[in-house]
Amino acid sequence: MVRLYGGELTTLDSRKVSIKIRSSMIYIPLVIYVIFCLYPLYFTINTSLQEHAEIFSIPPKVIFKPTLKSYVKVLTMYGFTDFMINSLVAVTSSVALAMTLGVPCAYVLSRYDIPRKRDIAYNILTFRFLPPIAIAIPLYLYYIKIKMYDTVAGLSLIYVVMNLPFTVWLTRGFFLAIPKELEEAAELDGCSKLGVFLRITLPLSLYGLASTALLCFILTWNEFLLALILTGMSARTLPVQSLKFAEAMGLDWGALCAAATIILLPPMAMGIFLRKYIIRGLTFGAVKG
Amino acid sequence: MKKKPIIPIIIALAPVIYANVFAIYPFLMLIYYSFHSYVFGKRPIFCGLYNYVRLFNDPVFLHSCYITGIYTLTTVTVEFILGLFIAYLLYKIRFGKGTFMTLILIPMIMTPAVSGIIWKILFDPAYGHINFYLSILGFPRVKWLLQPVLALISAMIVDIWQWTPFMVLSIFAGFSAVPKDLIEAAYTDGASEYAILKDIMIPYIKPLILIILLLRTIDSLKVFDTIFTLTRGGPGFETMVMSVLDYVTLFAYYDIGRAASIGVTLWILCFMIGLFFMKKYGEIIWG
Repeated sequence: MVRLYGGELTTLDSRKVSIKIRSSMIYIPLVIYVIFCLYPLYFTINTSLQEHAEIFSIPPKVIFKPTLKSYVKVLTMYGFTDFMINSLVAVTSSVALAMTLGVPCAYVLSRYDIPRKRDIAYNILTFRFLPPIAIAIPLYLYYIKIKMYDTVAGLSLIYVVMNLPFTVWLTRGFFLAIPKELEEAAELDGCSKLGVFLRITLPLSLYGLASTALLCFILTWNEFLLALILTGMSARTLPVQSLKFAEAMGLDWGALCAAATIILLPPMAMGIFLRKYIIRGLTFGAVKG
Repeated sequence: MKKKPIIPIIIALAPVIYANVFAIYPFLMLIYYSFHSYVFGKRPIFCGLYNYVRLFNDPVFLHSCYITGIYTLTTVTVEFILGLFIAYLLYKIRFGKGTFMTLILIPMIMTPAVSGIIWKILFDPAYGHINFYLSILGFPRVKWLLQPVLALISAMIVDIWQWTPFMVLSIFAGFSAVPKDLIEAAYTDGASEYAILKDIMIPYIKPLILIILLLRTIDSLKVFDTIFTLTRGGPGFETMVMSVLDYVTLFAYYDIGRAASIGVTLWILCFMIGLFFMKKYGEIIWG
């Protein structure tokens, strides 16, 4: 009797244990995959904080005394801060302009019954499929002709086109999520159409609008091809500069990685806040993240 | 009769006009140049379809098409399969979903040009970490970016590293939207986990899968940043995808006419897939 009871208990226990082991086994491939994902970033930050001699030590050093020498070197290097300002100006101005054009358009598309409204939306979406190189070549020749080559303004103006599909399609999604009744109630209370938009719709969709702007910021900050072709020395942006660094500095991996870390900082910081939203943004709302 | 709302129409058309003015003019110029023999510093001379005829008889361009095709097919397939696998694991675990998702997101939002540079260092034959770990495991050191097939594989590894997270997070979002009672009903009927995945979850998210596959295909066809910073299309022409070839044609050979004809070809390719995408799934994303 006792033995039987004891036996039952053990099988039950071992089954529980085996389920536990099995469910924790799932974590092994996941962790391996995450290491694969993060290794380049870990390597970059690690290398940026090491002395030159430590970078090339074999095996690679995990524990070391961090130094900011590489950062000082990069930040005092000719042009780096200028290029950082270029990047910031080009990105923020293009996002701001794209939002100014895109948000009212999205509102109209979500609320008004205007002719050919889908064609308008689809037309804007086609710009998402455009290969940038096909735009960059003629634009490069044209910009040289009208003296817009190597200007932050020239770069920013074309970035707006890149950002428009996102601003229009994503904010439209947010506007659709706001109940129409709220706006109708405000209108009944004597609020003008513009007033409704400014006092009701805009505040309610603020989070969505901010996310859209941040997503555009990341995408534009990371843009490389157009900046490479349309800028020279004076309007150069950081991603292009990172390539020039890589070409010029050879084995000075410390400085290269410090520059890389600085460039990666803004998209990382924003991306982590935007986690839930990035996938939704990149698929134009087809995937509700 | 209802008054036609004129202000909303203007507001809605503003971005359309902006984008078209900015993109249509360059595009028309691109087509114009593609019908001309035009080298930097000289006058364009009309030459009809000469650029295209030359292009499609040029082994370098055909090789580039082949490389682009292989690259796109391989990366999208591997990313999808790996993404499906990881997304399923992520769906199954109980603790730490959010943390894992945040960490997995990172390759996707890292500046691609910078990622290319970092990977180039990691692939370095003498001091690169990849060769170091391989040598620990007893493998010989490899010249990743300097050997023909390996260079292409290296570029694909970077693409897979960068974009599998997109697949993982999208598919995971799809899995999370599958109704729980559907899965539980199948469980009580004694269906295996594999059967549930194959017969319930994947069919349920089929439109989503096709959407992300199409988006990835278009982006993979126009890949530039990572390959340019990693190999510049080398060694020889072994990683010369179409965008990079186009860049080189313009800035190394100064041949505008030819670069334009490559640009038009790539544009048509991407645009056709894009049109197919909008025809088929425009309805879904319109909501």
